Amino acid sequence: MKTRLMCWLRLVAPPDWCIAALLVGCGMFELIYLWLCWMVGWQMQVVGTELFKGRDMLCLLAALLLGNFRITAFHPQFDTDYCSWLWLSPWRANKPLPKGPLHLMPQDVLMVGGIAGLMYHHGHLPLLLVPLCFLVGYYFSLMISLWAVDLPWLGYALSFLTGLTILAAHRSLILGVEFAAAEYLFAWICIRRTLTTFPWSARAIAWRLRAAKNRQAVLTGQRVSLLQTVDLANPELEAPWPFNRLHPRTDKSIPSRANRVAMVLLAGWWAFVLLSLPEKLEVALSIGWMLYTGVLSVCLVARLSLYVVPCRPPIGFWGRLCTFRWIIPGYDQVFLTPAATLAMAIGAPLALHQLGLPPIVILSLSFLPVLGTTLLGGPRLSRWLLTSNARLSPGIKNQQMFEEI
Amino acid sequence: MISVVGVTQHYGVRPVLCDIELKIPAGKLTAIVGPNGMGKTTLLGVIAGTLYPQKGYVEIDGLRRRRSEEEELAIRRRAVYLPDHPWLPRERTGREFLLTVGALYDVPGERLLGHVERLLALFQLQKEGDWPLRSYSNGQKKKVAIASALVTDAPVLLLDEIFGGGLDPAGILALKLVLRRMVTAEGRTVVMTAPVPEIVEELADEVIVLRDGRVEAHDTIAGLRKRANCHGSLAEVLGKLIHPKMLDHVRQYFEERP
Repeated sequence: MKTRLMCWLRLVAPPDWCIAALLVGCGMFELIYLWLCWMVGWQMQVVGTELFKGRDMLCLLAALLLGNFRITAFHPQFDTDYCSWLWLSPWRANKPLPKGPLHLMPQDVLMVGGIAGLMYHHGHLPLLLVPLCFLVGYYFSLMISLWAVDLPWLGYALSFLTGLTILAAHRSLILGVEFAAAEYLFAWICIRRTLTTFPWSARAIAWRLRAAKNRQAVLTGQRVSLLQTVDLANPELEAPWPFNRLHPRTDKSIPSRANRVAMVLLAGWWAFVLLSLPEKLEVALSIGWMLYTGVLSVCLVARLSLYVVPCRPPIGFWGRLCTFRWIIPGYDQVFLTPAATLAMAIGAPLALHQLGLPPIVILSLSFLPVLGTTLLGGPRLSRWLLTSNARLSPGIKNQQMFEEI
Repeated sequence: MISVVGVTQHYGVRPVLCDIELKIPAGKLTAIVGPNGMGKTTLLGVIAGTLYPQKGYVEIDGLRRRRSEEEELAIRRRAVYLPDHPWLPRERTGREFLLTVGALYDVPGERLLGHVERLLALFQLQKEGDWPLRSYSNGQKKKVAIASALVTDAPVLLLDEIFGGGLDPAGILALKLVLRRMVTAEGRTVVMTAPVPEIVEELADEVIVLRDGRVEAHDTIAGLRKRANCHGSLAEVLGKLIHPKMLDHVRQYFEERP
């Protein structure tokens, strides 16, 4: 009976060491509490509740990670070997996934209940936060998986709904749990759609292989060829100078314009969701401005590095000065979008302030023109790489990967 | 046919190429020669598309470089460029590297595998083909780099200083025979820079002589001899065309010796 129960539970359970780590962590808090009580006396009870805040946060983090685990551990897109094997097997979408189900199971309820149980003694935070964190983690991972299997629009919709759930939970925890439960219906449809479209598009396969390669590179500390065989499906990822710049292929991984618009809108929405959470307006605004300047910096650096690193100016700085070619329109157009982004970043909050909108809304809306200009501003990357008036550069050489002969 | 129309190129203040006009015929092997620092590599870079000239443009088989995405992609499918100092992936084997480049140019799988095998045999790298490239000698690296240009099956080959870099005599001979055969039997176009006149004399159908960023001469070897009024070796012909005072300098060097 015990063995059967364990087998049933193990179907979707995380590895034993994860469960043990959580139990040990919570046990440590209990032990510290008992030790303090023994040393100082039972008046420590008041201080003890503060101590258990840490334990509660640990449990919420565990719930969030459990939700994440339920998708990342069982979704074929996150495991290249599993996906390849599944492709060759007679598996179809109407059959259970061999490694474990993606949809929620009664075991999940038991595990979430178990985590909530760990928070019961001297609990400082509401227990309803546990299922909420679990579902948010689950939806986030599912959202990423939808993007990875080339079903981005379902991912965007799920992301929007998750933001709505968080806002609802901020107003009332019960309402938030109700929203999260209702959202599961949509998530279930997304999972069905994911499985019925298996083995997914060529782009999804390319993403998977690329992600697997990057994961291996991160795990082993170098980006050199760590796969057993060369990736002939994406040879441009491995090609060194001059083939990295002169190959006759277009980059298919660049999202379409409609996708980029959706990403910009979602970023604005999530800025609004996150900035609505702090109780005090000053806290929300200080976090918001930090986030805003951070996003602006990333936008500028990413845009310039994507466009300027492979395509350098046709003549050097002194050459420009001395030959009076101070502006080279065919090349300098690349700086227009970053300049416009910077102008938008300064101008948008000021313009929105004139409309008398609430500060949080102003800040959230300001993300839209900044990200919109960065992601949608011309020239298109593929056009720039092929037709710009630039000197093609080998790029930044990774000494571990390449050597010049 | 490669057309270079009114190309002027400078990196800083000093122009490296001045108003270059060239028509390089298809199905021929054309060598670019000239003194050091006179723009041979720059001219090849402009034709290859790594450099964008300040004035003028380049056309390959009627397609203009960088005019539109479609034209540029079509040119890239037709032309392969091997610079003097290409990069090699340190941890990949020679075979894997060649397969990668072949796949990049959409060479069909079966054909690619066979071609890589033949290229490794051609340059005596069958055993080393499965070693990581970091373990290769300089000459072997040069051979793999040359093989990477050949594996693309591109009809236009733009090769910079291809006979340098420590190639052994067998490698030089193999490369000379392969290039000659590609031009005569397969009608491919080869444009290369080479500092050694003997190799140019043996291989080239036409020679472009660059001097001070301008085309001093563009002719067959017989035409160059006629122009220089010299019936000696190509080295002597080039000496007369490019360095008319070179023999005087040599004489002067020995005469002024104390």
